Amino acid sequence: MNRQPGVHIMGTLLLFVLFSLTRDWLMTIITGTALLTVSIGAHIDDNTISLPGLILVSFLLPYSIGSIALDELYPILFYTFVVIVPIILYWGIVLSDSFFTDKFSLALSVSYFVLIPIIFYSLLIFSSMREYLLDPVNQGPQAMVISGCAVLLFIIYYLKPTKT
Amino acid sequence: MPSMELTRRGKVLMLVPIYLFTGAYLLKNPFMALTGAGLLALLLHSRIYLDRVSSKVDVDPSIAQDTLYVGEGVKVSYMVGSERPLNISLEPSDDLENREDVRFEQTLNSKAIFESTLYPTSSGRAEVGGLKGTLSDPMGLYKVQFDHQSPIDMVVYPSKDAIRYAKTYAHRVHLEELVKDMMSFTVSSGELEEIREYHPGDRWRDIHWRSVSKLGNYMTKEYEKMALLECTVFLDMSPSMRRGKKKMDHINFLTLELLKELELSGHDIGMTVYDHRKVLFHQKPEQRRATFTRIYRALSDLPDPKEPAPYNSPRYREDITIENLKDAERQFVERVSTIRYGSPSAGLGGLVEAVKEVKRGVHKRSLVMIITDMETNPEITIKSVEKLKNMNHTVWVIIPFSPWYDLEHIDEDVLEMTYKDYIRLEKISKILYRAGAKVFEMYPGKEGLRILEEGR
Repeated sequence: MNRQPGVHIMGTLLLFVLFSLTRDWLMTIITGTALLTVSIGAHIDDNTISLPGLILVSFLLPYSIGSIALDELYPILFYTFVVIVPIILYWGIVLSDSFFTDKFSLALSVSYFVLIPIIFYSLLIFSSMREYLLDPVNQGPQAMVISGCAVLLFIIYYLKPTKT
Repeated sequence: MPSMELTRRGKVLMLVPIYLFTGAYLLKNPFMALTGAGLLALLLHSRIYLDRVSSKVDVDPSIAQDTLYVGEGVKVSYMVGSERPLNISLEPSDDLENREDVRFEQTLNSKAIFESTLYPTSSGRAEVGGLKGTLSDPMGLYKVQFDHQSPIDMVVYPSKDAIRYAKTYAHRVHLEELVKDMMSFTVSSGELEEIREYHPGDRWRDIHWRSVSKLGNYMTKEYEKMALLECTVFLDMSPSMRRGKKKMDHINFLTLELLKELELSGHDIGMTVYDHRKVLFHQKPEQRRATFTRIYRALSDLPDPKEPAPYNSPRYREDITIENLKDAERQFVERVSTIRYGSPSAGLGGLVEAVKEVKRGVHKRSLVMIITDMETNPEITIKSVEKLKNMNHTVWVIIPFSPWYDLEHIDEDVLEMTYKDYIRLEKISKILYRAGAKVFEMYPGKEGLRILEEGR
């Protein structure tokens, strides 16, 4: 299987998403350059070139989109499925020809995207911090709680990998 | 299940979420935290993928059914199968050395067959079919060190050249070479013939000192050569010598060849066949045509060969030293030296009887050739050599079998044992040499080799 068309298409898609969400030309050009590096690396089949580009993209994309207010359930799900899932797919396609082939592990990683919002919002509900955390001003605490959810999930999964 | 570990790429990816979480906190950006969570999910995906898949990898080496010899290549094919695609990087791990550097690197889809050629470098037992390397998930984030233990135990035989070389080791004497030079069947008569210059290898006791003082050069006395008149072959037919039909055939061949050559060159020939209990056949040296026929008949009438026994215990004793021979000496003196004809010497071995026969019949100096493998009653053989030397006979001990020739079922232990046995035999040969016998460790000639290798 040839991964190059997939990489190019996915890169273009991510760039399009970024621009349509932020309308920021500067960040689009910077991220586009990183995406171009990844594409070149994939084209000449050299992962040492594409890996820094990938890391850069992973930092730049959420940084640029950070201006969206996280004040409802809608933005977090929207962001997950419009940005994070494509980034993950992008990583997967760049690094390997055949990526999502195990349904079980795929389901487990998808459970991440479903469980993080659920844990996040259930925390908001049960800890009566809803108004505080959903205030667009308190983005720092928001980030901390989301990271905490992710790390919590990761530790649980990491320590007890489900075996069949 | 071997432990999983992160690859370099995996470690980099592990750092990215940490930086993303830190950045999310510092920049007050929850989306960065979400992205970090996504990358953690990616790591988790790889981990679980490999966790579920690696145990299904299997290796089936199919090795050519031929015998493995040192120095000869053998093709080994490894079959690695898995239900899911994997990145594999494997190399064969065997006891055998691979002459070519083989390393398999590819993406594995369901089934893959790798082939490599192995070149065994040493004989003995070797394990073949091991595979060692890493398996990683398609993204290469996690890897599993993979070490497939060798499933097939192979016996590597020494190379044919090595066996041949071992058998033709320098100081061993081929029968043909032994009988080629008829002069070697002569001894000095004691009559001075001439005085010539000393050559290295001449005996010191033959140096003519008076000429040395006159001429300043080393001069040595040359004695008149005189053909031996009587040659007797002592043929050991103890159970150890009868081990296997091939061995018997070879002994027959050797004895016949020896006697034929001796007869053709005009010597009197005689033969005594003995086993560990008594004398089985005796023909005193005579120069008559009928003698050879009689001997020939006796040789075709030897006891039946025994089943070849497995080489599971050492065949030569280690404690045979000159000091330990005193006991045998005492027995020998009791039974033999006091010439009491017909005295019971059962248990001491037929060789004693044979020596007695020599003592009784042959009065002149003669050549006595003892064909034995030195396994049964080695002390008696050594003592017999001493006695025969005392009777002024020339004694040759012909050892037709070194333990190497029993190398049919080669095992590492057996090889080790064979080697040790060989060392012991060398020791015994040394004692024999000191006792005054000429020791010939024979290797089979072309004909003998054919006999030995028949049916192999």
